[in-house]
Amino acid sequence: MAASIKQLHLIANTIRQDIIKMLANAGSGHSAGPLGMADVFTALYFSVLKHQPKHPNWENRDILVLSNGHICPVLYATLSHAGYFPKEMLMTLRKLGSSLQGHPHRGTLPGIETTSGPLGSGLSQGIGMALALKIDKRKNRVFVLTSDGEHEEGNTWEAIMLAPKYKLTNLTVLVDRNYIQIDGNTEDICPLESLKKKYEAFNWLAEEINGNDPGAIIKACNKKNTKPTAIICKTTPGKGVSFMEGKYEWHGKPPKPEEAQKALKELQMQRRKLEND
Amino acid sequence: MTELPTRDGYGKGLLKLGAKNKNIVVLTADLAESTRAHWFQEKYPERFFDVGVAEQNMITIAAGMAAMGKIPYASSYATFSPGRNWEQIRTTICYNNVPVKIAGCHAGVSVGPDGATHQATEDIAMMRALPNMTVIVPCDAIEAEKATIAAEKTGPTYLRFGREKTPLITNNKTPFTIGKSLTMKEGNDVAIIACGIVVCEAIKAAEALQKSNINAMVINSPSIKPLDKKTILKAAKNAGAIVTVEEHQIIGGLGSAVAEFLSENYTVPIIRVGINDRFGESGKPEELMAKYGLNAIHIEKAAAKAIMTKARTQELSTEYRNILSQVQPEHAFHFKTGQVARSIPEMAETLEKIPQEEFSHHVNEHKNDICQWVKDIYDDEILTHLLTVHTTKEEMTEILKMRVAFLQRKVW
Repeated sequence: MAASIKQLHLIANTIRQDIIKMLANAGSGHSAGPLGMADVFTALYFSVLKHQPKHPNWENRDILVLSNGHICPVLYATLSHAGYFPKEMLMTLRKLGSSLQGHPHRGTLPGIETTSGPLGSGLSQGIGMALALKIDKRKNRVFVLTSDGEHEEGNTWEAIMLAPKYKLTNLTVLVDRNYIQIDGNTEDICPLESLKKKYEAFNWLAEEINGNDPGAIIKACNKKNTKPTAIICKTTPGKGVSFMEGKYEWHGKPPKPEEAQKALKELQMQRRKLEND
Repeated sequence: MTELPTRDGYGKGLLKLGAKNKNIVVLTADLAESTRAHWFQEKYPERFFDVGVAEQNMITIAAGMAAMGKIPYASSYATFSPGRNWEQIRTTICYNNVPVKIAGCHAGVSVGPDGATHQATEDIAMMRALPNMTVIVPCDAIEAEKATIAAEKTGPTYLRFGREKTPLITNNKTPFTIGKSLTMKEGNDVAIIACGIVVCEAIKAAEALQKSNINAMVINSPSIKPLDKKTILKAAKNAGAIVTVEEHQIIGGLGSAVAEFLSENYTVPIIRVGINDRFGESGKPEELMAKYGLNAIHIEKAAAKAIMTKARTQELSTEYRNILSQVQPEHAFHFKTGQVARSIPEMAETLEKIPQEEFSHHVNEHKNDICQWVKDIYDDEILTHLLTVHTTKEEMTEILKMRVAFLQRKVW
């Protein structure tokens, strides 16, 4: 049975706390993106996706491709909460011999559908998967998670241009529109607006939503469409941690131990508020 | 001899695969016809995908299809794929370890008039360095068809094909196994290890060397990775001198693979024939093969150099000592103008100094006095052979100097 919106908020909060702990323990990694995308991951894995965590290769599963691999702490935390692997493994992130590589790697961890890290090649892999499923007349859906920054990669636009040719109604891309990248704000580095209009010009169905609203995410993902669909999820980078929110400086660094304590306190307060609502 | 381009073998192989395995899919980036992928397209349009001029997209779509159980063959020119999309190949195919086959057509300078932008000469190096990747360079259209079919069962694989028609030097019964080489000719003076369309030049070179009593072994090594280490080690031990031949940079290709392996296991002289750290250019294929040093004659010269280098590391025989010492006065060579050469070093010195007219008096289309003198006076088949094939004043001087340097155990 699908989780309620309140439950989703609680799960997302737990995932955020885990992200902070994992990053602080690893001593390196990305903070803002994973925190910002916790609601999208929660909505997908606890409501939208057809999947069986105990049978990660179940043939009728929906496929989730994480294109911007650097936000993998949120993927790892979500997968473990969903039951793909024990939660204890989360603290091995980025350590020698760990299945939780600094960027996700297919084959080392259940639930990872593809290796990613170098940006811009997830959407075209999603097209390949959607095409393969389509020619075999299989009903699985393919969800590709991308960042706004990786829309600066040519490969992303090659994929956007091609998908409508094959009428891939089984393909949905969710864009993390958080307006930041390592070097600064996206609109200062390489302006991307309007992503929605751009997708529409390439013959996609595009919609902008609040990417921190689980209800909106679920609703957008479950729409039946006649074209490939782009859901532009406006998220707050660093969501849930006041001193990280909206700051590009937190794109590519982990919290120091004292910062992690501060962040966890904030998240625990938010949790208590959620529980009492 | 019948001639066909190796890319035709690719096209035929795809047709056979398409008939027996419904999971075979073929992709191209706007080069269906010239990669011969269009034969598959005509027969199996529902399993054929032309993604437009977008090699990064082609290869990553192929990676996605492979992750869902398909066996994709991604077809383009080698300069574009794997040239343009190397990182995508590295991450989404090799690191993911999914069975995508990358067909790089129009490899080498034999592409011809299109020029260096379209002549892939670094592709083997790029692909060979990748973990999980198999690299195959077929020698003719028949072997190309077999390689294409064999790749159905492998993981990430790079297949390299040429544009031009080249002789069929294998037949339908010739065995083909990935990881195995094929001995085209036995011999124990030198082993020539070649891949791709220049294997036939290696055979021609060995036949020419045979006329001078030099027994060259010829190994066709289509499988660059995995390399047939067993055969190569045996050849090195048996012949003691190796020549590698490829239509690729001498950096990073078959020659490098052989040299890396032998340097750690059994050191013998290795001379690499290939493109020497430069780009190609426009021209007729045969003009370019000659200019870039990929013909039988270049292989012969390399073979002789390898044998000479081998001699340097061995005990000098009496005959070789004679070459360095002076001959009896009645055996000296008398130039038309009165100069006299009484040894090979003296001959080299004199040749360098004499004017062209005088040289032409002794070496011309009707005779080669210098080669004849070497043949009559010295028992040195390699030197005689080299002076038969290199007949300009400069070349002959160079060869004589090279021979002397080797015999004096100096690095030439």
